[in-house]
Amino acid sequence: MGERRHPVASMSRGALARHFALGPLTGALPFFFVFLVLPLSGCVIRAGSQEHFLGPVWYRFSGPPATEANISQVKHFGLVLEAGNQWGLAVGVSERTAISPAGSGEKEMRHPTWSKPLSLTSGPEPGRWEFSLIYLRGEAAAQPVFVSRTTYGASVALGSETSAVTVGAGNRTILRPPAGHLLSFRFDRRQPLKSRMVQMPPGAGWMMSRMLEEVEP
Amino acid sequence: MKNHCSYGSFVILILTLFLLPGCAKTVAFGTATVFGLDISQKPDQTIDVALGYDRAEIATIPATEQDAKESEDTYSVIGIFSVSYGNPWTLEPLRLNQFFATGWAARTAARDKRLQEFFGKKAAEISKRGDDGK
Repeated sequence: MGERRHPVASMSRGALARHFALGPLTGALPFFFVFLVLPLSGCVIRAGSQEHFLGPVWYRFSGPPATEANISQVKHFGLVLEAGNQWGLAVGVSERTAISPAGSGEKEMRHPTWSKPLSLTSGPEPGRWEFSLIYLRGEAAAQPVFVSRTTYGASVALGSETSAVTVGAGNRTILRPPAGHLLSFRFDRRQPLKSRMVQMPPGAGWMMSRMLEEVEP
Repeated sequence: MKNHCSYGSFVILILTLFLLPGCAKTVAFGTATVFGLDISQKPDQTIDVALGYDRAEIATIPATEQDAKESEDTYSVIGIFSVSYGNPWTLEPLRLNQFFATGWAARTAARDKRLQEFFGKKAAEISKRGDDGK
C-alpha cells in the first residue's frame, strides 16, 4: 500500500512553495515591522492622576498662571496601546485633550507637573508642542472633567472616557461636571489651550455673574 | 456550528465589555463625530453602530426613584449647553459653551435672581430662534 501523507504535511509543502515564490515580499515584512512600525509604537499607562507615556509622543500643556483651566494635549503617530484607567489600541494618528478646573472658588488647585526623567534636555515648557522619545510622566492635580479624543485610523477603546471601535476618523468628547458644584466651561477645538473651566462650590453666589459671563458664546 | 458558536461568544464578550465601564451615576454630556465605521457605547449605556458620517450629542442625568425633600436632594441639575459645529468637510472645529450646577448647588443657584434672569433671557432667545426657523 502506498504511504498516506498527512494532509497538514501536504498543505505545508504547498504553503512553503507559495512562500518561496513570494519570497521578496514576505521576507520584507519583518524589516517593515522592526524599522517602521516599532519605532512609532508607544504605550500609555494612566493610573489615578498619573500618566506615563512610553515611546514617541508629541505633547503640550497649559502653564501657570492657569487661572482658566489645567489643559493637556497629547498626540501619537503609529501604534499605541493604552492601559490603566482607560484601555485601548490605536493605529494611525490619535490625540487626547484633557481639561480640569484650575481652582474651586477661592481655593486654587495644584498645577499638573510634567517631566522627562530619561531625557538629557531641559524640562518641558508649557504652551508649546514638545516631543518625547522614550518616557514622559505627567501628574495632574485631579481627574479631568472634560476629555476629547480624536482618531484618524483604527482604534478600540474601553473605559470611562469612551468605549468604541472606530475605523476611519472620529472625535468624541465627554464632560462630567462634579457633583454638588457649579461649573462653567468653554472649549474650542481649534485652540484647546485657550479653553476655560471654572468650578465653584455651592453657595458661591457672589461669583454667579462671572460664571454666567463664561457661558455667553 | 462550532465556528458560529465561538463567533457569537466573542461578540457577546465584546458587548459585555462595552457595558461594564462608565456605569457611575453622574451627569454626563458627550458629543461624537464619526466618518467611517463606528461601534460605540454612549453615555446613556446604549450601543450605537454607524457606517458613513454620523454626529451626535447626548446629555444624561441620573434619576433616583424617590422624591426630593427639603433636607434631601435627588440630583437636581441646572444646565445650559451650546454646541456649535462647523463644516465637517473643512474640519472646522467643535465649540462648546456649557454651564452646569448639580445637587445642592443647583437648588441654591435656582434661587439666585441673576441666574433666573439669565435663564429667562436664554429661553426666550432659543424660542425665538425656533420660531424663526419654521
